[in-house]
Amino acid sequence: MILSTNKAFSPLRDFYLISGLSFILFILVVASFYRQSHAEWKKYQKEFVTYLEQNVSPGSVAAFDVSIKQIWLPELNRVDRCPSCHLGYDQSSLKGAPEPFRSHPDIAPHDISKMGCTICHGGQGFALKKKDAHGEIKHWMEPLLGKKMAKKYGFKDEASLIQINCNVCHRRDGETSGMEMINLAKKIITQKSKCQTCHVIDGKGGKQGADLTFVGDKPSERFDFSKIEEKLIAAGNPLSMLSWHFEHFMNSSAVVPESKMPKMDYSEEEAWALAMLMMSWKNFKLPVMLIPKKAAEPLPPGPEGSVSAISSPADRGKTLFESNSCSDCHTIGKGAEIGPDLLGVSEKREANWLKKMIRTPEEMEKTDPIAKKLFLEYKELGMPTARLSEEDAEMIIKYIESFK
Amino acid sequence: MKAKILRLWEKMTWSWSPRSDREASESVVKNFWLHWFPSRIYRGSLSWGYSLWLGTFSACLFIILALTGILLLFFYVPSVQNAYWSIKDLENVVAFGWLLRSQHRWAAHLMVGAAFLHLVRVFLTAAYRGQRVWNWYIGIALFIATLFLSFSGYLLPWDQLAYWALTIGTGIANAFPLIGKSIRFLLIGGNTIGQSSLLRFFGLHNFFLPAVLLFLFALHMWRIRKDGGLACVDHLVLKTKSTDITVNPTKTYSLLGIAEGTTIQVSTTEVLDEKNSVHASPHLARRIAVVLLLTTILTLFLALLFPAPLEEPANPSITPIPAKAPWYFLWLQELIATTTIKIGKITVSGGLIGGILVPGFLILLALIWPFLDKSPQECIGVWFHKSRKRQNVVFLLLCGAVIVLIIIGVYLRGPYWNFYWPWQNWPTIPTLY
Repeated sequence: MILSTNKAFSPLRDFYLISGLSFILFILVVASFYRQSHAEWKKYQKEFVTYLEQNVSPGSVAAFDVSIKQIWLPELNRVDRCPSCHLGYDQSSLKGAPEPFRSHPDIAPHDISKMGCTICHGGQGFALKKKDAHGEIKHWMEPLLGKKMAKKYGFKDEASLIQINCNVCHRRDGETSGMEMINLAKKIITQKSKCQTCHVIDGKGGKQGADLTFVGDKPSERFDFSKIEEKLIAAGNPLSMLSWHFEHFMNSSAVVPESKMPKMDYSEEEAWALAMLMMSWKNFKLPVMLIPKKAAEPLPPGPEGSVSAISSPADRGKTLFESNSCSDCHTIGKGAEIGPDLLGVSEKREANWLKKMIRTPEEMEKTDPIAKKLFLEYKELGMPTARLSEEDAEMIIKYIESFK
Repeated sequence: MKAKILRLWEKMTWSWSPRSDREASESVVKNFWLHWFPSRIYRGSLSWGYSLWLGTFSACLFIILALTGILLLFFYVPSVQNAYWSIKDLENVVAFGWLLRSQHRWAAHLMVGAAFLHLVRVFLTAAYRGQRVWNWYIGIALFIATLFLSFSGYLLPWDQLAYWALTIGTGIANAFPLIGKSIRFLLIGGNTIGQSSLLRFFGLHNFFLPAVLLFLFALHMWRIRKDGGLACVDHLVLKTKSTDITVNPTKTYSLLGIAEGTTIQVSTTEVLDEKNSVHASPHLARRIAVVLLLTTILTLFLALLFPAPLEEPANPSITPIPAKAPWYFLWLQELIATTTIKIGKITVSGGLIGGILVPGFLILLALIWPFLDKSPQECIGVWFHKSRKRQNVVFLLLCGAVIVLIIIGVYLRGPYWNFYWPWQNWPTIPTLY
C-alpha cells in the first residue's frame, strides 16, 4: 500500500485551509480574552458599586478602583485576596449590608490588616474564584470553617468549628472568651482526664499512647478508618479526621480494637470539643507580633519543691502519689480502675517487691512473674516509670498503708 | 531621498534579490532560514498521508513550548518556599497566566505523544534503512530528551503531583545496579528531595535539556537534507529506475569535504524534475504554516477546555493515594509494581526489571533493529509493506503492550496500586474536616 501519491497540489485548497484555521484560532483567542476579562470578582465589585450608589452615598463611588484587593502577610507567607469580593469587611458603616459586602464584626484586639482572613476562617487566600477561595475543591485541604461546614457536622452554632483555628494561636492560653468548645476541652484535659499519664504532650507524659503534641498535623493516611468507615458513610457524616477523633473519644476500642485507652464516658459535646482540640494542635510558627498579649497562665507546680521537708512521711507520700499521676490509674480502697486497687497491697506483697514495682515497673513487667501476670490482667497497659528514689517509694508505701 | 530610504529598507529586510532562476535557487544556500529547505522538494513528501507531518507537529509544539516557557520564566520562582505559590499566582492573578501554564502543559504532553507516533511512523515506513540509520538514532535521542524535558518540568510546580512523581521517577533510577544510588544522588542533589533537587531540575528544564534538544534537532534536519529528504524519495528513485547520470568526479557535493557520499538528487534527474517536484517555497512553507496553525489551535483548545492541574503543596509526610509517575512513565511503574520475581532464594526486584531491564532492552532493540531488518529495498518509504508484515506485527505488539500498561496505570490503578475497573468506586479518602 502506498499512501504517498503524487496528487497535484491545489494551492487554493491550502488557502481555504489556512483561512479556516486562522478563523478558528481567532475565535479561540477571543474566547481566551473573554475568560480573562470576565473574572468572578469583577462581577462582585460591580455589584458593590451599585450597592453603594443606592444605599450609602451616591457621590463617593467614583473613587472606587476595580482591582484585585488583597492583604499581604509576608510573615505568615500568605496573601489573602478575600477582600476582592468581601469588599466591606473593614467599613463599619456596612454592618447591615448583604454578603459578601457586610463589614466584619469587631474582633479587637485582633487586627485584620496584620492577620488576614484565612488564618482564622480557613480557605484559600490565593484564589479568586468563589469555590477555590472557599476551599470547596479537591486539592485544598483547609475549607472554610463556617456555616456550610457546621451544617455538615450538624452543629447548631455555626461559629463553633472556627474555634479550632483560634486555638492554633491560643493553644497556651487558659480560658478564652468566644472559644467555648475549646475551653470545655481544655477543662477536661486539665481537670478530669489525665491524658499525660499515657500520652506525650509538649514533650512530657507517658509513652503508652501516641504523642499528641502536633496531632493536628497527622496525615490522614495514618488514621485507621476501616472500623468506622461504614458507620460514618451510613450516617451521612463526613469521612474526616475530625470525625475520627470524635468516634475515638466516644469509644476508642470501636475505632482501634487494640486500643488500651480506658473508656472515658464523655458526652457527645465533650467528645466533639476534644476532637476539635486535637485538630487545633498543629505545628504552626506564630510570628512574634501575633503572640496573644495575655500572658500564659502559670503552670501547675511540678513535683519538685512541692514535697515539703516538714510534713510526715505519709503526707509526703500522698503528694508524691498524686503528683506522679499514680492516682490516675490506681485507687486506694475504691476498686480497680485502669490499674489495681492498692488497698492493703503491702500485706499482699513483699516490701522489696513493692519498692521495685514503684521504681522500675517496666523492667518488672518483663522479668517478674507476678508483675507479668498483672500486666496481662490489666489489658497490657504498662505502668510508666516515674523517677522516684528508694526513699520516695518508701513514703508512697507509707501513704498506702495509712488507709485501713 | 526616496531611493535612499528604499535602499535602506532593502538593506534591513532583504539585502539581495534574485535576477534569475539560478540565483533564486542559490538563495537557499545564501539565506540561513531558507537553507533548512531544499529549493525543490518531492511532491510525495508534501502529502498529508505519507508522514502525517508528525515531526513537524513535534517541532511546532517545541516552538509553542519555548514561547510559553520563556513567558512562564518571568513569573516562576525556583525555590521550595515560593515555587508553589508562584504557580498559584500564575493561575489566579497573572493576566493569561492560567492559559500560558495550561498551554505549556498540554504542548508538553502532546510532544511526548507526537514524538512517539513519529517514531512509530518511521518504523512502519522502514525509513531507517541504510544511511538513514543515523537519523533514526538521533530521533531516538530526541525522543528520550523529550521525555526528560517533560519529566523535569513536571517537578517545577512543587505540588503533591510533582513531588511524588519525582519520588517515583528517581526511585526508578535507584533500581539501577551498582550505580543506582549515585545516579539518584546526582539527580536530586542529595539523599532527600529538596531545594537542590528543584534547582537541578530547573536548570535541566530551562537550559541543559532544551540546548541538547535544539542541537539534536539541528542534526536531525541536516541529516534529512543529506539523506535526500523523506524516505518516500528513495522509493521513487527505485520505482522510476532512471538511467543514472554520471556524477562529475571533481565535485564532492558535501560540506567542506567532511561528510561523505552524495544525495539521491545528485545521481538521478527524475526526482527533482517538473513532474515530481515543486518549489519548497511557498509549497512546503505553506504546509508548515498549516501544521503550525493546527498545533496552536489544538493546544489552545485543550488549554481552554482542560486547565492544568495543581494539587496541594508538596508534602513529604503525606503520600497522595495513589502516587503516580507521569503517564509516559506509568508503564514502567506498572512493571515495577508487578514484576518482582522470586526464584528460590534469589529475588529479582521489580525496580530492576521494570526500571532498567525492560526499557534498556527496548532501547537496545530499537538501536539494532535496522540491522536485523533484511527486507528488500522496495519497502523503504512505503507504509505496511508486505514483506515487512512480521516485523511490523512484532513492533506494533510491543507498542501496544506499552500503551495497554499505560492505560492500566492511568485509569485502572487506585489507592495502594490496587486494580479498579472504571465502574468500581475508589475508597473515599478521608479529609481534614
